[in-house]
Amino acid sequence: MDELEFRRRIYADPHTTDEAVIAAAEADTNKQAFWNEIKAFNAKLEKAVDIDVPDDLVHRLIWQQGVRQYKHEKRKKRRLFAFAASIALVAGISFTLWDQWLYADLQKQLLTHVSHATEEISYSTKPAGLGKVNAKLASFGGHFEQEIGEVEVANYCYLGAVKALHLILSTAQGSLSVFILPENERRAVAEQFSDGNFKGSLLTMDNRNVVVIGATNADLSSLESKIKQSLKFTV
Amino acid sequence: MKTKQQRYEALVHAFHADIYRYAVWLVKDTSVAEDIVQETFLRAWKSLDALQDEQAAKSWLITILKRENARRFERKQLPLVEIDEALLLDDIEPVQVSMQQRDIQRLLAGLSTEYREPLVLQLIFGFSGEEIAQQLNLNKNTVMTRLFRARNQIREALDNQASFRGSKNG
Repeated sequence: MDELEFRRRIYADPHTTDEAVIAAAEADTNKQAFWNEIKAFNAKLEKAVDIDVPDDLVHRLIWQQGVRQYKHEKRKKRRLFAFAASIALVAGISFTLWDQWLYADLQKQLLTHVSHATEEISYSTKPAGLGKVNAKLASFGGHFEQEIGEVEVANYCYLGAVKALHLILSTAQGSLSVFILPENERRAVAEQFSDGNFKGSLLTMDNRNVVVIGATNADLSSLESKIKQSLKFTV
Repeated sequence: MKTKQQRYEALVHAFHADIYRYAVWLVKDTSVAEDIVQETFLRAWKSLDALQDEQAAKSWLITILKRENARRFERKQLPLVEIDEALLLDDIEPVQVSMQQRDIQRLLAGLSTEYREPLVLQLIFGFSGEEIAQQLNLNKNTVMTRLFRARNQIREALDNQASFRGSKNG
């Protein structure tokens, strides 16, 4: 290794472990002396860069991080709280609407239900005999002693929160609906009511409400009297 | 299992001194150096999980520190001028430094960044030529040449000063 290359390598890295450099220094005392000189020079450089670090720098670095973290968590908590509050608001509104729907005007629910009755007919198995009707009526504690007409459909339906039995009869007065309401249904229904397309009348039997609904021009009286004769409640 | 806070504190204790020294030699201003060191460690907190082994942590911190320094210029739109060395040196070592030590510091600060940076990485962190090359995104031969020139410049300047003072005294 020539002198220049040796010097370049020592200057570039005084702590070199390069075998060629070590061998060159061992073979030549001048080179070894030069190396020692540069090592001493480098020690001064190392000392020169090794400036004092402020005593409190460590603490400040740890402290500032803690502050930042605290602020971050506070922000996160605030966001979480806002989120929870909006959930609560939505839940509150939904519950109110749901509650209103459950206890909405029964009369209106009956008429609306009847106006959709044609859809119910097309999806049901027809006709429903006395046996089937009575089987469904049993859970209301009642039964028909005899046929009241040609029952096309006998289905449970929900009017708000209340489960009622809905019968659809095919009669000379057209398609008529009978709703048997459970004993606990206490919402008010007028004795006679109508919405322009349909009209209804209320029969009160053994503390139970039964509603008959048909087209506004239909005569409901014949069906009403059949129901009064035939429908009995045992419970 | 250490908590994140404990790992962060360990990282700060292990590296803050060398990172601070490196920052001072990079920006040549102690208060600016402190600012960017603080910013660097704040960023380290966010990436703490990725900083598992020592070498990776060191190199990561240096990279972030350099980025923070570059950002400082963008932010303040400061002209990229080197700060007066005399100003820096009073800042770094106010008293009790030998004359020669002060000369060396002044000469180090006076080196252009491309020579000063690899030399400081070698002196402070004990990086090898390859590690410096990787850190600065340079080829290893370039790094070795710059290290050689950096030491050569300082040494020549010291020799000249010595002979100048010598002739004045003699």
